[in-house]
Parts: sequence; C-alpha cells; structure tokens
Amino acid sequence: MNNRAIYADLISKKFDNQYIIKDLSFSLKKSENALLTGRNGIGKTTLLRLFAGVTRTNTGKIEILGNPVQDNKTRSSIAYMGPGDAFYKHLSGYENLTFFNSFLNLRTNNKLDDFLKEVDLWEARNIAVKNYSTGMKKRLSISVSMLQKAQIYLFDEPFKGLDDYGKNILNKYLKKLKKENKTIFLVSNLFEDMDYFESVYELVSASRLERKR
Amino acid sequence: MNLLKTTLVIFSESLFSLRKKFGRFLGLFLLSIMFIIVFEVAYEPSPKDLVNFLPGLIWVTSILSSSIGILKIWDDEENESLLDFLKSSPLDRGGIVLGKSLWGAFLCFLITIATFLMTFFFFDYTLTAEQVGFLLIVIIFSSIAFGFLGGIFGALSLGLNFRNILLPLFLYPLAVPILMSSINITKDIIADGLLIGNWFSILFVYSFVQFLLVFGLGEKALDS
Repeated sequence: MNNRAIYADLISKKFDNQYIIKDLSFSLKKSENALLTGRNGIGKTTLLRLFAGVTRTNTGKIEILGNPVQDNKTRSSIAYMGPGDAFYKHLSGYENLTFFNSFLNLRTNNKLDDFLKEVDLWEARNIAVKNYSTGMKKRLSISVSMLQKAQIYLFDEPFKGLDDYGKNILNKYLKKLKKENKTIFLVSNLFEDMDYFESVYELVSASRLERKR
Repeated sequence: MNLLKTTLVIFSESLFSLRKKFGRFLGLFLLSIMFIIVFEVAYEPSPKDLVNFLPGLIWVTSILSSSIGILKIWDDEENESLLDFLKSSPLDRGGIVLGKSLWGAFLCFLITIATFLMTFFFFDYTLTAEQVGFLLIVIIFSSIAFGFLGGIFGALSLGLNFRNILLPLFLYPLAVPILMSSINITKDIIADGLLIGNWFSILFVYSFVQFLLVFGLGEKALDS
C-alpha cells in the first residue's frame, strides 16, 4: 500500500526562463512532520506552492496521497497556509471564516465561534480584516487552517509576524495536528524547536533538497 | 467541489460583498445619471430625434459605467495570497472564473436597467409592454457578453504588470460589437418594435462565444 503523502518526481519550475526548481525528487511519508529550511529566495515557497497545487510544474509530476495534485478532490486533502494574508479585506473575520467554511468543510456556526475564540479573535470578529494587525491576520489564517479537515498541512512561514502569544497558539495547534497523525510540511527559518519535527530538510539549490535529520 | 457549486459560492460572495462596497456601486449609478442629465440639458432633442439619439446615449453610458464595475470584479483576488488560497482549495477553478463572470454580467444588468429607467424618465419617453420585454432580452444578452468578456480577461490579466492599463485596452475594443449591436437593436425596438434581425444575431453569437470562452478557458486563465 502506498504510504506516501507527498511524492514529487523530477519536478521543475521556471520563471522568466530561470529554473527555481530543477529535476527535484522528494517524498514525504503519511503522518510525517517535516521542516523545510533554506536561505531566502532559494525556492521554498515555490516548492510549497507546487505541492499545494497552486502552480503547475513545467516538467515532472506531483502526487498527493497517490493522486495528481491538480485534481479538485485531491486538493480537499490539503490545507495550505501561505505566507500572506488570504482574506477578503472588506469583510470581517467572522464573515471571512463563514465564506471559507462554505466550501471547505461546512462546519456548524458554533464550531466557527470556537475557532475564533481559540485564536483569541472573538472580540474582534466583526471588525473588517483590513483593520486587523499583522498578528491578528496571522491568527485568523490559523483559524482558517483549523477549519479544514485535511490530511496534509502545508505551512509557509507561519510564525512570521506573530508575537509570543500568537506563537503559543500556533504551537498548540501544531501539537494537536501531530497528535491526530496529520502530515505536516512546514517552511520556516524561524522555528526554534527542531525536536518537534521527525525530519528536517534543507533546500540547498534548485535541484538539491538535503535531509539534515 | 463541482463547477456549479463553485460558481454559486463565488457569486454569492460577490453579492454579499456588494453590501460592503455599496458606495462604489452607487457611484456607478450616479455616473450614469450624470451622463444622462448632461445630455438632456445640452441637447434637448425633439421627440422625432429621440429614436436616433436615445439608444446611443443609453448604451454608451451603461457600457462606460459597467466597465468601471467590471474592471474591479477581480480586485480582491489581485491579492496573490487570496488567489493562491482559492486555487489550493477544492473549488473548481473554472467555476471561480464562471462565478466572477456571472457577477460581472449581473452588475452590467443592474447598471443597464438603471440607465434605461433614468433615461426614459428624464426624456419623458414611454414604451409599450412588448418593447419593454424586447429590451429586457437585449439587456440580458449584452450583459452576458460584456460581463463574461470582463470576467475572462480579468482572470487572464491577474498578476500582470500594468494590469489596470492593459485590461481596458483589451476590453474596450472587444466591447465594440456589443455596443454597436445593442444600439442598433434598441433603435429597431424603439422605432419599429422589432427585435429579430442581423444585429440581434451578432449579439446572440457574441454572447454565446463569450460564454464558451469562459467555460473553455476559465481554468487555464487562472492557471496562467
């Protein structure tokens, strides 16, 4: 039986005729927790966007739980949290969550309330997201991630912009995911607790992804 | 999530957002009214001239006002992070473009209806029930053609440099067949009470082509 959560076979991606990722192969086991590091601009975000099915490879194939990443059904098993603010800024935090809930997992409104309380945004739920601080937007991103019942969680620099309080919320959430045997692939240069992860990878160049631990 | 469900999800989000962006929408109505008042004061056409004068005024006004709305339908998704999130979600990508295009068509429909009502009010012109029915058909087809044109080109131009300049440059020339056919059909309806003719065939085919383009290219447009 296929035990691979993510499988990339000789994938390449180029922008403006320059390879960001070139002939790279990689696989991640189900329930594995992995950290991806690498210097700025090396292609970590591009790699994560490829795994999330946001952008297509120029060559090579990516499979998520044995299925092509571009299938709509496959994407329902991925929860992707990008580095930026993925919100409708004129809508409030609660309205954003309600909208995302309408196509992610159709949780009850009570559950949405719980998520907002968990990330300490309950008091600010009716304020437009454009008026949120950086940390509040990041915490709202965490609650959107909580909304999803995925198998694979992809995080791109989730700690960026969070204060210690926000970091604690995120750490607690990551521990919960680990306990539930979810596959986690997290891109960060800010993660201090390396022991949390079973494996640590470093993207050294466009075609080299080294396992450090 | 299938195409139809995604279309509905995206359309309802736009409809819900209208409440928050109502000022912008109201601005488009006011722009239309301003055009009509300026022409009414400046020209004061005789009842005989109105048949030739009104269709041009109505359609140029509504296409101009609608285009400002259409150029904004992808505004939120210009935020790359939001677009990435939608693309990583189980939403059907073709459905995202279809939902936005449908919203664009709905916006055009509302603005055009308002422009028609205001024009006939200010110029004190009355229509028969049959003429109103025919005009509704023209408005529906032209709204689909223009809304879908804006939807697909808006998606294709996402992430492009100088998008705000490039999009109108593509959109306006391609809107000429819609404008010409709508003006001529409206003139036929007002003057003779006729709907079916060569201009109607052009508008029908053009709307159908835009509809097919959104269906066929929607997913690819977002991927690009």
